[in-house]
Amino acid sequence: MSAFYLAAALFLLATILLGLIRVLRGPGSGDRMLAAQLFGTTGVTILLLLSMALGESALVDVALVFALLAVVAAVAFVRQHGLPEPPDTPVHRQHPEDRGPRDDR
Amino acid sequence: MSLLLVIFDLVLLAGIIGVAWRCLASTDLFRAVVLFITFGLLLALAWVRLEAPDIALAEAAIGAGITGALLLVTLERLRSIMAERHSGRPHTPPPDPSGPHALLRALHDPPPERHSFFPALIFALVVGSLLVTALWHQPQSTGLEPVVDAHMDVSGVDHPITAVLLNFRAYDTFLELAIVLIALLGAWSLGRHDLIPARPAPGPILPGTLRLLVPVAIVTGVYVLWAGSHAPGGAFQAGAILGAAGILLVLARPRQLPMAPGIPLRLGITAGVALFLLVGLYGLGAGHGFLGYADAWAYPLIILIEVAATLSIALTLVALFVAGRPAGDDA
Repeated sequence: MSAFYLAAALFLLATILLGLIRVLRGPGSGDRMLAAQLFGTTGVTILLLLSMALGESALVDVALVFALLAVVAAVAFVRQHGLPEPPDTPVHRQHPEDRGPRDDR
Repeated sequence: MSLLLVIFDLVLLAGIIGVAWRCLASTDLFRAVVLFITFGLLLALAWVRLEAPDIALAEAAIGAGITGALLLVTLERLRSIMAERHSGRPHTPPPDPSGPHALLRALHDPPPERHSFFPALIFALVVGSLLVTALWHQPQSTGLEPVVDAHMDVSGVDHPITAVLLNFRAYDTFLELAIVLIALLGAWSLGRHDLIPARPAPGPILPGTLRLLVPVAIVTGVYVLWAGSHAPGGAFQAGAILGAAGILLVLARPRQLPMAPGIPLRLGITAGVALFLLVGLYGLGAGHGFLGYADAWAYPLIILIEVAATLSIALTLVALFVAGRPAGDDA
């Protein structure tokens, strides 16, 4: 059974690496943030699966803390909503749409 | 089973290196922040695989909770400074050469690119040879695990990590707490606090989440503190969780809250170091040496120190997040 848990954890880790494409390409801030939030959920599952596979009950606590605190970054992100963002702000300037695809790799 | 674990480790390693590289190479600051949050997640998994659940717990609390929020709020502040600059409003204070504007200039007007790999190559060679030398001279030993195990019965706790942190090597932990305090003093010496402005809640979801989450976070923090005596956990992790709950409150409060008055805040922030020092001096006076405990008193003293340290760490993290000393404090 633990081999099955490990295989599932490996699969979920692979989905995180695939999801990185969304973080890298965006295009919007929301897409990136939501991808990171989903990574948090996946990470909780990976921790629980590893806890079962390796017989380490302490990992459940790590998963609990992750599940609880992943929302802090989301709240910090939500706060930014409604803030005036001039389109020419240099922090915001470089968006994947207005760059060649070469830059993104 | 073991093959699967090896594959898992390799994929994890590749992911960590890849994310770190993209995070450092990213020109879009927001993308770099999101990559850094992901990096923290992968790093916590790596600590789990290195059989260090205590550090994984700390990384989960700091990396998932606090660092991401800190970087996002910093980015927000940079943007609002930029927006102010673009709207052409005159700055009331003259631009400070070491202030946030200098940081913005450095971030957005980077020096012209020079394609010289020579310094990087030398640096890589030096660091690489140092690492190889260090590995070469690594002593062949079984580590300190047997020594710690042999003395667990006098430590007062059941978890070896806590025994090392708060009994056998209490000196290190004491200095770590002092460093956390000094970091806050450094931040406070930089200026008066410029609180993140309160915003009306954008909808019913945020206040509802808070109402549900903050009590659960407090219970979890206390649980992790209590778990420290027999399982992974302890003051630093519990303090980080409680600190994250405080940061959540600072971030999402819909209107200005009265700030904690200066004196109790300062007392709370220094409680961990002060109590640790008192216990240490008492040990010195009672003949156990500085930071030594009598065997029978080890457990209650460790719990006492851990409770005070948790409070101090949580308060310090929130104060560091808000940044700057409390207003109306320095007359």
